[in-house]
Amino acid sequence: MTVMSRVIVGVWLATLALSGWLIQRTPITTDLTALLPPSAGRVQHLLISQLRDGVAARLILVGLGGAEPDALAKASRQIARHMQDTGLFDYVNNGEAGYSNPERDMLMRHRYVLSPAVTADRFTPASLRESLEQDLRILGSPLGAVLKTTLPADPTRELLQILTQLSSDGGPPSQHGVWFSPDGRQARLVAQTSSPGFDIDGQQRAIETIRKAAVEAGLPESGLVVSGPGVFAVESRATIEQDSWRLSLIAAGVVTAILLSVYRSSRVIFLSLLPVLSGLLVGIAAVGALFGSVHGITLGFGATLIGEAVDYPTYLFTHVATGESVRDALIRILPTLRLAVLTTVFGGLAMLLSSFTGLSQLGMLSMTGTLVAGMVTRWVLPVLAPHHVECRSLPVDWTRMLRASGRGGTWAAWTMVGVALTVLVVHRDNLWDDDLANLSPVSEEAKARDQQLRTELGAPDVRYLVVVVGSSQEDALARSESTAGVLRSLSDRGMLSGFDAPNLYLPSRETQLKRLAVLPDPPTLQAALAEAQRGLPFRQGLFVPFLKDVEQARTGRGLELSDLQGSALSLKIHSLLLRDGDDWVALMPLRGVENDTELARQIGSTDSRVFLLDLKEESNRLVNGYRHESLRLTALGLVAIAMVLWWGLKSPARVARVLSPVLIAVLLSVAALTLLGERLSLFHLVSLLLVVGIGLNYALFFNRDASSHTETRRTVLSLTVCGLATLSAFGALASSSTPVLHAIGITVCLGCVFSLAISAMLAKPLGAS
Amino acid sequence: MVLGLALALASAATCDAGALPTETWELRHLMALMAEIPSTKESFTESKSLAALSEPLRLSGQLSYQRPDRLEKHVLAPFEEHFIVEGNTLTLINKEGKKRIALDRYPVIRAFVESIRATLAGNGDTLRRYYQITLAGDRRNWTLTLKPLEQQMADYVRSIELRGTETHVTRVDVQEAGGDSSVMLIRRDAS
Repeated sequence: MTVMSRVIVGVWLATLALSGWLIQRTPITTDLTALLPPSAGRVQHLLISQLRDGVAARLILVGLGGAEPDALAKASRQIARHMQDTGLFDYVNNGEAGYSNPERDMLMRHRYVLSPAVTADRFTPASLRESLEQDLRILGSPLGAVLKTTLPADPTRELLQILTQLSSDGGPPSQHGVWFSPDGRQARLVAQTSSPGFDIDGQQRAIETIRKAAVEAGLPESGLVVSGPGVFAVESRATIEQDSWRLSLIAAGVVTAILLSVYRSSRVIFLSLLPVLSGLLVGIAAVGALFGSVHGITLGFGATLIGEAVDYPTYLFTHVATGESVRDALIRILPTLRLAVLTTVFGGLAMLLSSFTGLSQLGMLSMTGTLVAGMVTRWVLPVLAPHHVECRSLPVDWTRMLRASGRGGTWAAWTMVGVALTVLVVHRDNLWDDDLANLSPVSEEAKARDQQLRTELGAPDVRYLVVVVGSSQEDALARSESTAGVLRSLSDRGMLSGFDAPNLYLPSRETQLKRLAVLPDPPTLQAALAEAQRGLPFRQGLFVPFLKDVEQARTGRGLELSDLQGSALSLKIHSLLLRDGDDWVALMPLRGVENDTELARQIGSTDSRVFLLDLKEESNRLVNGYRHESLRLTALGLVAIAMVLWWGLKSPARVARVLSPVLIAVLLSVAALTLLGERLSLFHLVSLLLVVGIGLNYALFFNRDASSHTETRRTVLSLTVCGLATLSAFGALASSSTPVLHAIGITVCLGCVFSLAISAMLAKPLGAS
Repeated sequence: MVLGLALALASAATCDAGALPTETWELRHLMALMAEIPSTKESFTESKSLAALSEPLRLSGQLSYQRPDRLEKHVLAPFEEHFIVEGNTLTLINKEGKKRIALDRYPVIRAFVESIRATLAGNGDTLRRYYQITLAGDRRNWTLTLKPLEQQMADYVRSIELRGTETHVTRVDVQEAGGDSSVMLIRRDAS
């Protein structure tokens, strides 16, 4: 090796080492705010925080079956205890205790500020008499056993009022002391994980704990049903990972086989991997260095985009003439290869300049990655390559017909464009898929089962929240109270089955003071009670605790947020009452929403700072915003590409001949996808970007100066190998049942085929005979 | 004359005794017996001794049962209240209005209800599901002692003892946790 060669290899290895070190220190984030435009409003931020930390996203619903009811009940108790002990759950509820005792005690302690029944005439002799008479009636009935314990302190039954307000109808049915399904065949549990809904690893840990506990309790594996957003996320990830691994192996196998049959040298195949791997490594390091972290989406999409770089070594090695050194071959194809790399780099530049972090990172990765891959192909491969590279030549030149089609070919191409445009115009309303849910690999059956469990357990919808904005905590709570009134009346009309609100656990100061003011001083209360008690058989001195408690409440300071600390109620209220900059936001999760448009209208009309948030719709809107921005930047990128081509090819006619097949191929791909019934999503869009990248490469090479017939054959060989490799790799993806992988696979396959065909048809290389 | 009457009575008794099966008196016999009644309508007086009260609470009213699962307790004095249990639903009608409760969500209430209803229905399976059962006495005078199996019920009700003659439940004794108790005497209406 010459000195120069050593330097080159040295620099390359050093860069790789540096990149590796940088990557190791770079965190990978999955923060969804990368998808947000910089001008995101409160709604978007709320959406992200709810998806990330929201309570609904952290609820796991569990069904236990596969055994007799009493065995299930025993298992339910055992599993609940096990789950509680692991500390991975904020709370676990299987019906054993309605509200656990600390929570009940807390509600009891502050009942006079919490109870909605504490109004002006609550403690008059007449009202007390009525309460006591009712108490007597209850004592005489089967329900009396429950009243006995709270009667001395709470004869006016405030605790009951509070509990009625908080729960809908007592929860699921219970048998053997724990919750069961209405048909009595499955036990039921609900648990809230400590880890947020989007921490998939944390969710997975929690789910594993439940599975282990179920096995230890003696239940068959088929007897355990877990459901919820966290469960779906874990399952989706597992499915996608499994599929990705399997398909990557298949793709790698087929591609290696193809390359082996062409090069017949494993060393060459190994060298072919170096540019793309270097590009990935350096690209990720660059993103990390520039942004401080790398987003998961960037990694996923970036790996797709860099697929283009896999072709660069192929272009090099397949153009080596017999007896020629690799370096000389490189010099020959350099102009074309250089343009191929630069067009991709400038295409990515537009994305880099985006204000969306996610797109910006993607642009950076794609730019740096392809540039480095190109540089490695240009400088490192010739140094490391063997002296002789023998390529099998193509047995059949399948492009000859297409290339020689001349005018006829051009007409054919434009006819296809016309057909494609017609298809797109006809289907223009169904083009884009706005619903993210369709991308989820979760089955319909699983979704239906989740809905059923959710309804049975009275768990909040994952979808609907009423948001109330206030200028202070007190303001937010006050507005929440008036909105709660509206929701109650709407619930009576059947528009929803129930809701939760922060003011149910922490009334506004104003409401609390109003209630405390109603409490009479000891002499007054004593006198009123004595009068009310006259003639009723209650034991003398029975209600001393009542007098004490009222006085304690009356002279106390009411309930403050800090009082709830350390109980499940504190968790509750922290998920329902949030700070948002200078404002405070009260969230009211809804249950069983029937008519969301009507509901939104009713709620929005009362107060401008109150509105219905539909998490599903907002998520879709978010991703669609991201998609629109991507489209916009792609268009800008195409302009940049055109300029680079003009600089490289020097003639506008040639630029047109290179660019048009690419655009036509994209058009045809979209039309084909639409005809196949596929609706376009963000993943299709990113795949189309890859199609543009590889399509440009094909067009550039088809339009290369063809100095000789053998050279043309070599070019055709290289394009064939690239095409086959791409089709195998992405064909494998297209066979996946996961919507995301399938989308990427089929788009790239179609794009690849159309690019090759149209480029061949429209090509007019200089000096062609 | 007296001797004749005594002889007649004695023979009648012997005849009755002869008609009775000589097997031991078991739950299934009682249940089979109760299962024959299509409906009952009786008056009751109930006396509840509660620690919270200075004197026992006395209630009276009507108790009626209709096959297969409808039990009604109509309290007439000292206040009016109507409890209707049908299937899984308890409907409570009083001065405040009407309220419906699902029995399977309130195990404690179910403990009270099923003890009477399942007995009147002759439904041994239900009784066995919720209670530990002891039957003493014979067909003429039996005592059925029920102790709740579920912890949530047992926390409130220690035991329920039903006494009866043939198909007629005459007395229900409830021992609650904490020392409270109630005794219900049931009198068959003459109709």
